[in-house]
Amino acid sequence: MSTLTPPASPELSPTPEGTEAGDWKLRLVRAFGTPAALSRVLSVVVALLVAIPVVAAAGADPVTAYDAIFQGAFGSLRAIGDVLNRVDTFLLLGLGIAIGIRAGFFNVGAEGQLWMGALGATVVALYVDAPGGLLIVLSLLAGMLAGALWSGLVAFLKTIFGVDELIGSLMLNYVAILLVGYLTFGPLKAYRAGQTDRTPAATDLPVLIPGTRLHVGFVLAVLAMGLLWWVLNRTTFGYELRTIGGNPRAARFAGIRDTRVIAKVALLGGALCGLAGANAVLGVQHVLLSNFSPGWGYTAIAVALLGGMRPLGILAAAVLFGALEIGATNMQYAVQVPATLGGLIEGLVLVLFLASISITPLVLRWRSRTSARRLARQEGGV
Amino acid sequence: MSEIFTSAFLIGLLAATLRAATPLILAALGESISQRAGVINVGLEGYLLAGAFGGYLGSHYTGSPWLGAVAGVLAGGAVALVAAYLMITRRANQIVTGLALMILVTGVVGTAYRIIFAGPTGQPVRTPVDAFQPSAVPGLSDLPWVGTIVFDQVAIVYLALIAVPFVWWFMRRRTGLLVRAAGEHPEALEAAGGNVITVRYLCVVATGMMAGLGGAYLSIGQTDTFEEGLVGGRGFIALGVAIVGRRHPVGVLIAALVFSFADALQLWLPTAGVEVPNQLLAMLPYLATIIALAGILGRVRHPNAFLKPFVRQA
Repeated sequence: MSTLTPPASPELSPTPEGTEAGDWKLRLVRAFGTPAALSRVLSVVVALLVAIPVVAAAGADPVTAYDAIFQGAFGSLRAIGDVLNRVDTFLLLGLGIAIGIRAGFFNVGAEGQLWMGALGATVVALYVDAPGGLLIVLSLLAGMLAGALWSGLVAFLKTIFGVDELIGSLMLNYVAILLVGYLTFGPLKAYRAGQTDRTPAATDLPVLIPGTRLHVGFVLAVLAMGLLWWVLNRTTFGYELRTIGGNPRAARFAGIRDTRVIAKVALLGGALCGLAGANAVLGVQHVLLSNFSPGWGYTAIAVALLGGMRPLGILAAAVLFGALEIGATNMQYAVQVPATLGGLIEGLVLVLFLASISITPLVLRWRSRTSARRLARQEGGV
Repeated sequence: MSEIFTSAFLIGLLAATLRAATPLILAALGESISQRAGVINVGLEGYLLAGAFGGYLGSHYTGSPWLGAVAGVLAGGAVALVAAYLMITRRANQIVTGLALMILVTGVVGTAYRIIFAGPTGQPVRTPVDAFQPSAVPGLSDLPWVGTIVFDQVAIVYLALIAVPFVWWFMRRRTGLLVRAAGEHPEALEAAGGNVITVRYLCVVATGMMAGLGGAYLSIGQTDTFEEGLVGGRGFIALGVAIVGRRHPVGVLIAALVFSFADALQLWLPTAGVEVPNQLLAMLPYLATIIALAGILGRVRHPNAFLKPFVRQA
């Protein structure tokens, strides 16, 4: 059983060791609910502590620097709006990744789907002639479609050709990034190489709160979160995908058509990641750059992991990482500590989290029928 | 167009291919050993970056590119050791671990670079350090063609080329048997008195050290400065090289050279007045990896215990 997927209770119930050390550990775990919850909180706290000497080495007072991060993230309405825009990206990506992992389809293609989503939305916004409101909807849909196709390609390659979704999606990420690079330096080039023209103002996602940059995309992300919770927990499809992720053999015996479910999961996950890209372009950047994303699709895998693959947990992790990144930028202005400290803390949180919960790994369990047969042959030959 | 077929152009192109292939050969050779032992290093990108920055720092402080290379090897090995602890001892998911280390190394290196080489505007200042100089191999470098292409390079290129037969030899000996047993039948290896955990640790750390040397080549072998985007996806290409090369040293060498040829073409075709869409050429390694996995060039088989952590039976 994997702790990447939500916990099965027996594994998560803390094991009392009967020793005195075990007693305080047990009490600590009880105070936080589960060991996983405890290690989440501890990872964040320890990461922030470990980063203190780094801040000091940069010649800044740690208290001032951390205060600058906090103020930069939550100190003003505008700052909060910027954080929520980043949360929008991480939440959608995290949800798209989590639904795949819950079904045992571990693809790391969120980055590529994000880029394709941004590309799809930009192309439609720039080149389709439609009235404003309709054009926004069309652009967002184009982003979702592009993301879904890119993710669907991974599932297709896996089902038909037995290409590992891990490596296939990793390679396709770079293909997507290079495709955007080619287009922004070539056919879609604006007056400056490496970017497209500005998308028409009519396609800018409406701002929710005047004086901030918080846009409607955030509402879409929250709606998607609710929808995904409902799909996962209240529909047959959600049950099927959880069964496949938990026990593929049982799922097959129960008559669940795994290939079909995985295809749906891939399309749905890709659409969510694509929407993240569309939102980032239409809501924040208003132009497609050749360096559009600094790797949000990879950070989002961390977000999904910290969030325990559950919608609300992912939201919490997205807020943490969003606040860290936006706050770190402010810290750089305020006390000249490099904003890359945000990434350093994110990495520390992750490594500490991985080290502190004893994870039995999520083996790539879902296999297409053909590769399952091949596997059976191999195992039979031993 | 005719300039493409001059010998000077071809020699330049092929020498550039070998240079571009060097970090890939080193990282992918290591990775092929790890994968045979059942462990994938998705964080190869991070090992390379650590090696590049370690090599740069080492040369900056000691003034010796050789000590720099040692620092790069140690930096790559250190990152891989953390990865090994998470993947092997803590049995964390290997993919997530790799990505976590990539994020961590990017953050650490970015921050350290900006702090150590801080300029007045807050942006890091490009600081050249002592780098490797091409050292011609006496005698061999006078050979026509091959002399200039192969035997007039910096030392790390030679090390990468020597590593290919070394890894082949290593994998054919008992040591290679241990590695393959750890990946195919870990229980059998334990039953025979071997230690799966130790074997896997050594493989992963060796991968990190080799990638670290490859990274150092990027900073103090090919250039004499450091920039954060230096690795630019080579870690992921190296993953592809290991798989397309069937985790065999000769396969890795060929795949790395073929992938790098595409890279070198981007650099050299413009010098002959031929304009090519760089990004489309750069896609080739990634597409080739997918095609290789799709079985069009023959099936790539994963070891039985690929991605599976080993749990020792009490």
